[in-house]
Amino acid sequence: MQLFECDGKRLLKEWGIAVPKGLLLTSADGLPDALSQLGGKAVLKIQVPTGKRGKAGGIKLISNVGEGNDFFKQWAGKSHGGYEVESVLAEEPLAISKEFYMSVVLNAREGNFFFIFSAEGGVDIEETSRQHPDKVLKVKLDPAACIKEFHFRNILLEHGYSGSLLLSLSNAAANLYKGFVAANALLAEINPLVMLEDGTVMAADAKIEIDDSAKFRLSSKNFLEVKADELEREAKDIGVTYIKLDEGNVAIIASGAGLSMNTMDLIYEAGMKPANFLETGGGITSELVRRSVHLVLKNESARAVIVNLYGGVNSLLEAAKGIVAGVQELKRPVPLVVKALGNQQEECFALLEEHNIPVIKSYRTEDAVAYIQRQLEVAK
Amino acid sequence: MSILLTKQTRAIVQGITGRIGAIQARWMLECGTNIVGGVTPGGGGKEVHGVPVYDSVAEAVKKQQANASVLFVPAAYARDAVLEAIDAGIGLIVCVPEHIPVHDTITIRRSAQQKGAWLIGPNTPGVLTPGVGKMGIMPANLFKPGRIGLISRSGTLCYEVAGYINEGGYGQSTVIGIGGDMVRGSDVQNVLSEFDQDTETDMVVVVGEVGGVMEEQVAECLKHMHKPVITYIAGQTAPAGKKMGHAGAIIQGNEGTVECKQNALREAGALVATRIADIPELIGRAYK
Repeated sequence: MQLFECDGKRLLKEWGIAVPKGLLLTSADGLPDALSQLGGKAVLKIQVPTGKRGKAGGIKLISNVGEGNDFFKQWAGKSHGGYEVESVLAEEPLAISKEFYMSVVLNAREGNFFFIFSAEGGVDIEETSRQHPDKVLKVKLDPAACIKEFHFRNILLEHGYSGSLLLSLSNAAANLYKGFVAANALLAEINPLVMLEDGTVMAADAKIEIDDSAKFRLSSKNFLEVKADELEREAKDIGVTYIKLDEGNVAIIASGAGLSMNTMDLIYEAGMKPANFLETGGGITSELVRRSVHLVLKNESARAVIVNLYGGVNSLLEAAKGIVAGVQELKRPVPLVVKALGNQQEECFALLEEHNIPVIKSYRTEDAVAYIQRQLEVAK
Repeated sequence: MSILLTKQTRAIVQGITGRIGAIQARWMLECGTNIVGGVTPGGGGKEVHGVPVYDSVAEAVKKQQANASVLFVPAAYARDAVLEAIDAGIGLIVCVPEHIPVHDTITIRRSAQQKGAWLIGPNTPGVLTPGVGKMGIMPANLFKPGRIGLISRSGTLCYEVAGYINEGGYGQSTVIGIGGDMVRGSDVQNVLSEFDQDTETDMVVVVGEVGGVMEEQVAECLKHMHKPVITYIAGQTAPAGKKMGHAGAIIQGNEGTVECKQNALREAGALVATRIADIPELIGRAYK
């Protein structure tokens, strides 16, 4: 989960990295108070978990309430990068003399971390890295090593930093690394990390991605979240992973991510379109399957359902009960086919057949796809 | 011979007294796996399906000469359980649970590397050698003894692929669920190299999916392989930017697409199946 800037900065502050004074606003009502607290001027920044806000006019320096009102009006009900703008961070304006880039990021390929630093901050670091690789410092950090501030000091010394700037930068780096590890982050990026005219080093932005599986380790959990759409919220409640695919006509319920993707591919290949990705996970229950049948048909373009299961930890009989219950409750009956193998498969087949639900008794997903294709052609 | 899980394997089940651990222990025993013990701290002295339970992995190693462990413990405890197994000198650790924090995976991966242990997973259906046994949750009846090595990121998709391999008249030497997370305990190139040296494996089928870099790593190590490698990658129609269930399965920008991966693999000399159903034919071609 990628944190919003305001939450990222909250973490940076906890980790000992200076951030600008700021207030989170959800409406223009808070502007007068914010302006007085921030010294008469403020930088307004829309809060969405994605970049390129500046280019889109989502960051603006204001010196009175009127300008702030205009900014709120401009963004009311608008989205940026696919995310609805629901809040605005008001910060003290900074007198910046230099911008750096600093991050700690997971290197999934080798199972270690990178410390990345550049004196060319505030820009697209990947672009800089491509065009001027010498201007981006990238150091691998061994997860088994005990990394301390002096490591970062030595790295930066080698690259020509000295005096108080050396100390401020290496202190920020050590705190960033320590915080990154403690929070089990996947990415902790400060771009730009700025040096103010008075020499203070401060994080002017924060892009922190935390690991959803490690949330239980975080001391603070109240992070702003992107509003999930209604179907995704329902899926979460059921306990399945669901992604709606627009204009699809064949819905999928599959026990496994790879299997669900493979089913999508085969549906496309047969000239139809998948209406969703749905993975049940290992713990299939009849209730989970029953609700999944309803969920996938809430996508209005769905005209048929393929249920594709392997019974591992839980039995297929439970799944069959859920399918039968789900189908019986349907207000909009559509062709549905089940393909299943595994634990208690015979009992599963018997129950489905008793209720006239077609079953493919093999590992061949393409047979289930072909069946649905014929049904949809007949229906035309 | 087969790889990793062989007739010499003496396996323990960490978390054997849990609901899932107990069921899975039974199914592993039923397909012939040599399970010599279970470990549940505080549960020492009990028995589960006739298998003695010990308080620590070290004790199971001492009393039963255990050399392999499969874990069914909650994700939050998996890191420490794996570290305990590594510390006790276990050479093969199969870490089944999903939703293990990535930082934990990095810790246990590094520790396994330092001690020279095989760590398979996390988020894996396990390891299965038809006719010998299984460590994990793969339904044994879906596989057949044979001479094809099978490596897969996805669990249920590898069952499907095994079905087609069986239908073509072939079978599997060993099946490895390498793990669905973005960081894995073992690198695919090391598993491929084991298959390359195995006298009972003729070729390897690798089942990949969108996102991550495993398929690219396969391509990079093909020049060191003597045996044919056949690949299939799921998710040709996956939209960019959407995480398809597995933490590793996400297309970011132009990276991680099936097309990218297939091109890299083709250039490196792999036989690329665009459909699972084409795999048996490619196996036949590789035998010629």
